[in-house]
Amino acid sequence: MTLGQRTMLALYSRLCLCREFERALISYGTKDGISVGHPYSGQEAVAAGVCTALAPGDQLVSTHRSHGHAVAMGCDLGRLALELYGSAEGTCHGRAGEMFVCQPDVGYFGGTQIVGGNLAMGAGLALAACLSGSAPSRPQRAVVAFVGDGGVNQGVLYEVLNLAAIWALPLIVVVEDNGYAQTTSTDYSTAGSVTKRAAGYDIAVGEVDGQVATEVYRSFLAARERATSGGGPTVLRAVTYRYEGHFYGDRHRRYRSPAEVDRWRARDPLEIHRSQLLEAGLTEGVALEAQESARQRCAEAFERARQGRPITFRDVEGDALVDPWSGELRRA
Amino acid sequence: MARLKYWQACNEALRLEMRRDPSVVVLGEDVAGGAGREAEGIVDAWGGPFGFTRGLVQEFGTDRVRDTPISEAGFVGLAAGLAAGGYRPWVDVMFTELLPLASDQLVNRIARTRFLSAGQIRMPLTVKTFGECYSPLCHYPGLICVAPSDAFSAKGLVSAAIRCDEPVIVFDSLRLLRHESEVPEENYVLELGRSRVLRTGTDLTLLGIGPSAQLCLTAAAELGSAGISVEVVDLMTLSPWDVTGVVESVDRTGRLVVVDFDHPDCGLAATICASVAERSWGRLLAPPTRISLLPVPIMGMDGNPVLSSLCTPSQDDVVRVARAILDEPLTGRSARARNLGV
Repeated sequence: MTLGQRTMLALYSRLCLCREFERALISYGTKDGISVGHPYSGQEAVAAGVCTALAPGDQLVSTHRSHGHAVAMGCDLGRLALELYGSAEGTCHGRAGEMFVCQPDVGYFGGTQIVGGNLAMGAGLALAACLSGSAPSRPQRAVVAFVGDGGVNQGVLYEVLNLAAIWALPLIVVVEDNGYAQTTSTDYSTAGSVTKRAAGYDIAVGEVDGQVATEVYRSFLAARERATSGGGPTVLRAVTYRYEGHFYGDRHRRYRSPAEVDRWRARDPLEIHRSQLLEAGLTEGVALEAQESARQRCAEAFERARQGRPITFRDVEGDALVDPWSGELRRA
Repeated sequence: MARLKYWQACNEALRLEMRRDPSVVVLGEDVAGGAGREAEGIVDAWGGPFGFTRGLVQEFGTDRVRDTPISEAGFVGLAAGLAAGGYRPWVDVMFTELLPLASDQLVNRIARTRFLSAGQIRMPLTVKTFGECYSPLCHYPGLICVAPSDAFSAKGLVSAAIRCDEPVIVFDSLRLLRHESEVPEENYVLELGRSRVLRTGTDLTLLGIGPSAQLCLTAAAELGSAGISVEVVDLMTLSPWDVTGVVESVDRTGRLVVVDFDHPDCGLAATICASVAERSWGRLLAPPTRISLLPVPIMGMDGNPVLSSLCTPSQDDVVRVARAILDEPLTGRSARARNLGV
């Protein structure tokens, strides 16, 4: 299947947006003393491939490495940047920050500080999709649950895979295997593989080159089709790499060789897609335009974020379930 | 009005709430009973654990009354997703000893989501469980914890929990399973966050938490016949608890004994005593006192019943401590009245 020019460009726009958002976050954040959190650069083909294949109404839960997913899902960039700046004008009024920010009106249900912590909620959203449609066996929407290579060793994943399999939930678990759980490599920590494990539940599985957005897109589209036609869950493992450390400032060269990092940088997802774009007949000018537009949007978002109103206790005290002063349940 | 056992009142509340609101769904181990054997005419094997979901699967079907595998973290987290997706799950986690398996979902996801998302995602779900180990979950702001003390409060609190837009944990007690009381036939809600006075008195407030409220009543009757006037307050909502209501009662009587079937340290009863001391200091006639389950690591379910009762506050303990406080108010017996063998 060759992809049309429109899809090729949509993928590229998302790739650029993820990359440029993080670039802007690093350049503004380091100047302003704002945490960059968990960098996504190098893994953009996964988010771009998955999110371009989603249909309106689909839902997504993320991990701790979440801002790439939020951007690819189409979250409001200005409010997202404000949220990362801790502003009361942010997506979650400055309460959530990097790992918990969500914008459900675009299907983005947010990340989690717990590795594997959102998988079960993803399954619940998928069950809600079954119950709310006209027929439980033909859900109208699919749910994506991202997890990393570290998360595949959390027990809850296997409870969730079992539940998703017995109830044929429209859940697509996308494993972003970037080779390292903090400093610990996948080959050290993981017996067998997550796809072999999932196959034991008779769940459809796929392995995909996570540097190639078109491949992620194609595999995910097939999984989505299976999910919404009653075929149940899929586990898709995308092999990828993060250019930076586990967190920004992590001295990752203490656990990864420079040669290894260079090897992966030579397979940059934006570069790979850019050459495919040109092969598909799009021009260098169109590609540059997409990149420039992404750069500009992200710069605007962070310029705005710097002007954001910081959160105060007054912003939240009226909204906590318990009155923080009396300790009593707040009356409606 | 009808005379109902505790479990029947819970069952009725669930049935009426499911009729009232099609978004209420029931999840848990064995709640439908015999799942997968419907073709053989098997349904509703046990009526759910202890009869709480009896008859529901016949009326509402397996989409709304759903048996789960034994995967507490998985299905409690799944309920969070159902809630985020517009449903009102009622989740049976059979015993409090199973709650730690689902703790991550409860404290890191469910308790925080509405607040951290600034209301974009709501968590209108109920988790019910048997047991008195309620203090750990009372620690987390964002969860409402309740413990009914009889059939009447059970029906009203279960309905309130299901209709509440916030996550509610209902601590039921096996001690109350067959306890009977008068219950209105229609559904009704008891206001969350409020305690109730079960008996008025002037000398001492006995504060009951779930099943210990019944113990407080029998102890109050015994003390009453000896001429001591005891007020009994039933806490009902454990977190956030009714500071105003409890303080009002203690301000009337000047003395507080909290009767608690959970372990004492870092517990709900300790919190209540501390808050009452802070707020009523000048009006107190004796130190606020706890009588708690002894800090011995016994099993909460299916343990040795003799050992369990040796560690649990008894009517004699309550009467003894109450008398001691009235006789010698300033001897500092407050911290561990029972442990010290008052």
